[in-house]
Amino acid sequence: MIQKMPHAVVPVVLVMLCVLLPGTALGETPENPYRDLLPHAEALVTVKYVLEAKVPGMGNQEMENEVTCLMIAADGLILCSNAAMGGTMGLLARMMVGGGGVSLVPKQIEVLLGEASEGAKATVVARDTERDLSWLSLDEPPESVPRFLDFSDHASLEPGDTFYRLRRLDEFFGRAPAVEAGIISAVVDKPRRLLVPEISSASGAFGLPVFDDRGQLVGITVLQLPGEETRGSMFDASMGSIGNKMQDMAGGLVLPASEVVRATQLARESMAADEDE
Amino acid sequence: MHQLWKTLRGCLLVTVMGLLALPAGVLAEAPGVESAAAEQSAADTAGGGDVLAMDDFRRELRRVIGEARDRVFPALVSIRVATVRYIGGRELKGQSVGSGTIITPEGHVLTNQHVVQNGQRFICTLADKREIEAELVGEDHLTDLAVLKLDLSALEDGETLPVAEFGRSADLEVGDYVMAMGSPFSLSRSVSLGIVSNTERVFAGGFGSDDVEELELERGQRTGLFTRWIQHDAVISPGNSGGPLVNLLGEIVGVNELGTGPLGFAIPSDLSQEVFEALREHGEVRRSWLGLSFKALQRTGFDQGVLIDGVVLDGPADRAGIEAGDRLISLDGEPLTIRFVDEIPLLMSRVASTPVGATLTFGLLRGDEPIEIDVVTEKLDRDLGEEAAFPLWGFSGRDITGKMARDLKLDVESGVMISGIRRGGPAQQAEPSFGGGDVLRSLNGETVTSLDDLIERYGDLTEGEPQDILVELDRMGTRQLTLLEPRDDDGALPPRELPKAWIGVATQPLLPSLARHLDLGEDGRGFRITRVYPNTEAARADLEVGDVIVALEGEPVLPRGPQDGGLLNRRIRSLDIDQQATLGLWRGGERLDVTVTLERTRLSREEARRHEDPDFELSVRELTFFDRDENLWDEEIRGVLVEGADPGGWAGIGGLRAGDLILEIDGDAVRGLKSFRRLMAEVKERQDERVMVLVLRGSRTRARLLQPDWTPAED
Repeated sequence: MIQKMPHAVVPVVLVMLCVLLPGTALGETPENPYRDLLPHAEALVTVKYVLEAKVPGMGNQEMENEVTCLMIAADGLILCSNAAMGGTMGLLARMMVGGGGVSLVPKQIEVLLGEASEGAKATVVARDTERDLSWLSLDEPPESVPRFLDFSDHASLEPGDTFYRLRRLDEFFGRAPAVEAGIISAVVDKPRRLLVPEISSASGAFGLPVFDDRGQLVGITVLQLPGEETRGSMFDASMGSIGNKMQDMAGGLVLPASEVVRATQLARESMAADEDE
Repeated sequence: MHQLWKTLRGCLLVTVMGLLALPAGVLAEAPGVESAAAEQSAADTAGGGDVLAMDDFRRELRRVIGEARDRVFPALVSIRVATVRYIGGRELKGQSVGSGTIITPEGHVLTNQHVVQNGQRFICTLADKREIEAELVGEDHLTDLAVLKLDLSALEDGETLPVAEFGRSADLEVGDYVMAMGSPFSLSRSVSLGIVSNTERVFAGGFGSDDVEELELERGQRTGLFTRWIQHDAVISPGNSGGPLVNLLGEIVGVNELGTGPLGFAIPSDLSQEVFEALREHGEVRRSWLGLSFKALQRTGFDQGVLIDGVVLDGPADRAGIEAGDRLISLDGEPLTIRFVDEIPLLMSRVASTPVGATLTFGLLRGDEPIEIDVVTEKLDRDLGEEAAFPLWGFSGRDITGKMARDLKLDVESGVMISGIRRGGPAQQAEPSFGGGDVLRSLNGETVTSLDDLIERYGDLTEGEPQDILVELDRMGTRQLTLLEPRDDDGALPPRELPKAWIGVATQPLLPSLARHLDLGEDGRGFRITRVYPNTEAARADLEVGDVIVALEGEPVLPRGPQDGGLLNRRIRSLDIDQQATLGLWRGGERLDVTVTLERTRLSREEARRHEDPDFELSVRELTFFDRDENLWDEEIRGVLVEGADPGGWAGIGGLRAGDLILEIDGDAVRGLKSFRRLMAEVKERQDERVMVLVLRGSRTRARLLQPDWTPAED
């Protein structure tokens, strides 16, 4: 039965609806999420390094590389995609049995902070291959508190929600920040909890921050390759099938911020233990 | 059988016919051959007596060959060369092998230039298998000949060296017997027999072309401009290079250079002897150059002179006014006609042997008009300049020769050409980056004149802390400034993986199809333990091979397919290190709960610490838990694993190779990377001449003797 609502009640209901419905509260939903997220780009840093690959039978190979990473703490802790830090050689090695015996050492690492043209030296202090995370620490503490992204203050998304991904363009375009939007198409729990973007908004870029429409951090884009125990079953397939698998693994999966927080805590403990040694 | 004999008899008759073609001198000086031939002739005439004559002849031939062999074999050496090449701005060490002949009592060894090419160290193995170091006296790229000199101090007092003698290659005729001696494939000395197929082989364009082909030893370095090779069919193979071609008198008539199987080419002894004398006296062969190339008259329609078919711009001939298309009809007043391509090297030799700075008078026909032009010769330099790598700067460079400047259109007379750039090195990272073909003109504002100059500056600028260097590069006629920023990145280590929880077992997923043959109750699936690692909490918890894990901390772990192969370990890694975890498992038809303390994940091979020893050119890494498990090495076995040894480095030459586990150095135990570094530092400090390294290779220990040469490298 439909009852006609008294005119006087309508404004009250509208206000209540605005307060109760998440993401639609007055004053919380940015009018322009694109514009409002851009300041976060100051926490995106460029990491330049030389990747030394020791390949059995081929000697040492060196490659210059550049990736975008995230400043995640006031003390200068930086978070990168481990796959991005390993470059193409790292990806190939991970698809081989035993990693093909390849040892990858990022060295001569320099972090370009803000508009600085000279890099600050940094070191890889820990990595988590299966989560696709790698932490860097500046060799010298930053002179002032850098702009950083605080993953402890995070939100979560469900299938159908809109997400916003922040990235930077190539140095050819002045590394200008850009915001892309998409829809979360699935949330999976295997091999771990991950948000899956719809294919049309998938991206092959890893290590980028993902936000909800209120500008709260949701997670970071990662690559998820199977571990050695399941690799055979994943890649013993036709090319078309492999293509689909790769689309799933490398399509910009989002590792939830809660996972990032937990892993970062372990990384800090590991760093402290290394210092004690 | 009868058919086989007919074939053999035919072969022997051919052999006799071949021997009859030997130069008269050979027959006269090879006792018995003449009488054998006479007997053969008589046997042929009489008919039916040829078997007996063949046997006699064969004996005689064997004796002649044996005597000739014995005149050269003792002087034959095999040569091992530690080489260095420059690829991608890196210095790559390696080894090459070849053959040579001792030709003077002072220990001069004649070989090919391409055998000693890029050589840093030369080791000659004598006939009695002694190995003696040698030094390079000189090399001549244009004839592919080189001379080494043995270190006579290695001989015993009063000992003399066996020496082989030169014969006259000009006396050789097609069909003469020759023997190729050397060490094919680096095997011990050998000899093969054949006949001369051609005494004046030159390489033309083929398919009827009369243009002389320019051979190159390496890209940009010509060879054979003055050579008419002896083509023969004595089998030669890689490793024979530099070995002698010997006649039946036991004289060197050539130096084997090219070929495969029965198609061999040797540099004539007459040319080799000239080059040897020049190298011994001057360390180089001084030649004149005009900047001309010639074409024989065959198929040109002309019947007088030789066609000048190429003139190098701004070369001596060009500056004197000689033009391509002119015909040379006289040289210094002496009429000249060259009809065939194989005569070209003689003319090239004649020009080259003119003293540098001498004037040659060219009688020319330009069209039908006769003209005379005087040309002053200039010194003929190497085509390619010397090369060296500058590892801390990440590039290699070459001296610039006149030919390089012409070919590469370099508008410079000094500096160093960048020949290679190491990826990721300072030269590539500089902004702007160095480029292949750039010419390095100055460092910190001071002009760089040559490679030697750059090597000296490199030594000065790389002492102590790395310093930035302002570099001026010439690139296609523009002068670019850039900054080299060398880094000291020794000690960069692979990043450590985040420590996570681990149980010391290997498992296989049991899927329903397999599991139904086992008694797993209602679970029907699980992870079967295939190995329990010793000395782990898993072993202490008495986990057994064959146990099937179906639950962890009360939660089922049941694989649904091969894609779940990592399910159990992922679940374990999500728990905390040192946590007590309860495993639900099936053992012998019974369901049990076993509590295990979770350990920290073990160091992977990828994360293992590494060390590189630049002196021995050896890289090693620490042993990991998984190395021990794979090789069944218990905790008592300590050492470091060899990851790589450059083939031309001291460790590589000494026989160390990837996979060796170094247990001891000079009797001192290697317990890990730290003790390895310390022991190697002590070796370096003492500058030991011999270092005995005990390694474990497979199931046996091996002693490897390393013989470092601590002599400072010459600039």
